[in-house]
Amino acid sequence: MAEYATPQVQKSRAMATALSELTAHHRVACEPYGRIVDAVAPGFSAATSVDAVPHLPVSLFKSHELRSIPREDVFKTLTSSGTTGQQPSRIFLDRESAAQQTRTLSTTMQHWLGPVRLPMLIADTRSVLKDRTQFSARGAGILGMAPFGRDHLYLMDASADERDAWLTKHAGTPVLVFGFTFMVWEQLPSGIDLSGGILIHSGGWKRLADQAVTPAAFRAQMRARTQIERVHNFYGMAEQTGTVYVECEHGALHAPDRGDVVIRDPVSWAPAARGETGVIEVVSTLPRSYPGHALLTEDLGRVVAVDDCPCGRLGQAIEIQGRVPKAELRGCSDTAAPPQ
Amino acid sequence: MLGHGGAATMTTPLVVETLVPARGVGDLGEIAAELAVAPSFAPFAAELLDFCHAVSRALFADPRAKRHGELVPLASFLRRASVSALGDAFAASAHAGVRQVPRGLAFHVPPSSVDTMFVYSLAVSLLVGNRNVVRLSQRRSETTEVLIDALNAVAAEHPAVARTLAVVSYGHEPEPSALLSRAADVRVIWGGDATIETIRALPLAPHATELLFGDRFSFAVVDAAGPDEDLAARLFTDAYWFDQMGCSSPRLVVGVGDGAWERIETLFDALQDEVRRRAYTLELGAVLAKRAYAYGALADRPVRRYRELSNELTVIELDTLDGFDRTHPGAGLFYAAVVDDLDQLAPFVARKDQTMTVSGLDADRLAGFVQAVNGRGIDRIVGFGDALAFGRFWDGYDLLAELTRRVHVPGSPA
Repeated sequence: MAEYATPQVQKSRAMATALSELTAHHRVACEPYGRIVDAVAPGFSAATSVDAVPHLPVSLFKSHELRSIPREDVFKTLTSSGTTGQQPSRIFLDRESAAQQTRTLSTTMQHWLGPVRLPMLIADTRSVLKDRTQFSARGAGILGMAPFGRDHLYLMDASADERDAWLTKHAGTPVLVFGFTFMVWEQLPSGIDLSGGILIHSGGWKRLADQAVTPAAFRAQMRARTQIERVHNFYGMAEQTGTVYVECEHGALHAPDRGDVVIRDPVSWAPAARGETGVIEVVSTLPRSYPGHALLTEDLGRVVAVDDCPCGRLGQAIEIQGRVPKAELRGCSDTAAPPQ
Repeated sequence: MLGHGGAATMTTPLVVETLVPARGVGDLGEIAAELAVAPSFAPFAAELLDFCHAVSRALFADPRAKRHGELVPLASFLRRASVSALGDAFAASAHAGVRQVPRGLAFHVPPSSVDTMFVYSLAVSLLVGNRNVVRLSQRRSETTEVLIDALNAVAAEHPAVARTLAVVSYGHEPEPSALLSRAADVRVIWGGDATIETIRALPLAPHATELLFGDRFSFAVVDAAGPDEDLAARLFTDAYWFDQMGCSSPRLVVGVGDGAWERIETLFDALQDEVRRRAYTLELGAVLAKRAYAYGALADRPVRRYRELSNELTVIELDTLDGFDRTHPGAGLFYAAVVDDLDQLAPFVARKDQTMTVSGLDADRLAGFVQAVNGRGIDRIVGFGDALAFGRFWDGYDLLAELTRRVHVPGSPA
């Protein structure tokens, strides 16, 4: 079935079943996960709704090595940097899980980009891929998106002449522009013609929100600079790579077929009413090699559409409303020592 | 080496924020130099008792202080009756032929987790006649600001005492602490391992001494057969005043004897009622950090039961204390365990353990327990509700003794 074509009631039921099956799988395959479920959801066997599936705090992947495959089957370890100085998340994939992520991301992206690979402009520098010590969400994002384009040009590595030559070469063809939100904002120049193209960006609004740039202002600014009309933000966690929430023409981030959200009230932790702000829990039927199928994020958001987005896509769509501010858990250890 | 001549004593000014005796900025070198020559008082001199009492009055009078319950015991500690009693105890500890005198200049690095601690540290040192300089963090709570205002108001009326104390603030740069360390006769550091290591690397004068108050762990013990004594309200005070981040705040509750689990679960139910009654709430970020920490603990070992009573109170019931590592995020997370008999707890005690808050255990049982532990840990045993009460005996030190010198004067009276 095509993406965004399943009504929410039907989708929820299927997801509850799939997520319950994953819970059972991980309880057996990942002992620490099994112990957590035994403690937080004693007697759990199967959920009849998505919100009843036990979930983990996403930061647990920073402090603990959670694997549902033997070490020798680890094909790839994804790391996400998170905040500076913090231990990164470690996500363990076997060959099959890595392939599944790629396939799922492809299905979602093809919905937005079409089946043909477009010439691709990347608002970044190639060196972000090379320096493995700083291998960041930025690098991972570029590596994940690059296969959806061709003849890649890294904006920061190209001279104005090289850039113009590249644009001339692809004149008349729609161009795919990709980058981290703040990199696009800082690097995409004015006065180039990208009309007919499509801009995909991601990576958090914090830096732009600090400068009071709203998503609408971002879109308007991009159009003013380059005449680009189709601008899509997307939301996703490194801990659920492959499951992305892409922004439609009406500014709503749509849950893909393999993923969904539960917005949780921050006091009762029950699902919040539609439109109410809460903490975002993301669920995905992809993770089999690590117990990351239901994760409580540190992001705030709300549901803006359920099968009724004016864009016509079915399922839930959300709006992100920022991160939960880090609390200063003070501690006897912070009298004078510099942050490590 | 042209350009490197000149006087070796030439120094560049080290400008820091000053908080007491007045808010502003100042050159730390000058501040230290002035403190070094300020006339000092005899231990428990009348002017010093007056000063403390005036701070106590200023705190009781400040309308902002009503919002901060932790200021009440501090203000009580500083009252004339209380500090005079401390003076009597100090005098009683004197020996014939030995005079007790101040050490000189004390440099205090208090913890930022317990806002009131800098005043306790300062007051005890001030009362035995030391001159004092305190370093505070640049991130300060309202409680700290209330305390600074009170000290300044009183300092203005007690200029002679004011000349012997300074509270300054600077960041993580080492130079100011290095300067004060060189100038100090005694250095008092409250903090975690990293803080102590950082400051300890800075040289002291050869004669100077040092008091170290590292990161500690504290727990409570309840005899299942003991009386209730309004334990939940007392536990609330012990645990929540500093968001469970004080080193003396209990983070583990151990039940002793038959029916201990039932007793503990009832106690936490009552504690939850207390949390709600006092409208205590945590920031969402702290709630999420605590839950992530708790889930990590659940991942590491099997537990008897996990209870999230509210955002503010989580209990992890442990089948055994074997392997318990004492790391803890604060913010209302309690471990719980039971033992058949108090003696079974003795092997668990480690150097990191500071305060044991107790209920239903008589002095004989406790003395036997301390004997069984034999110094491997635990520096104070107090009743529920007194975990945060400050005293001259702290972390195994007698502060009054550590902050003074003994001068041998044969034939002088005690």
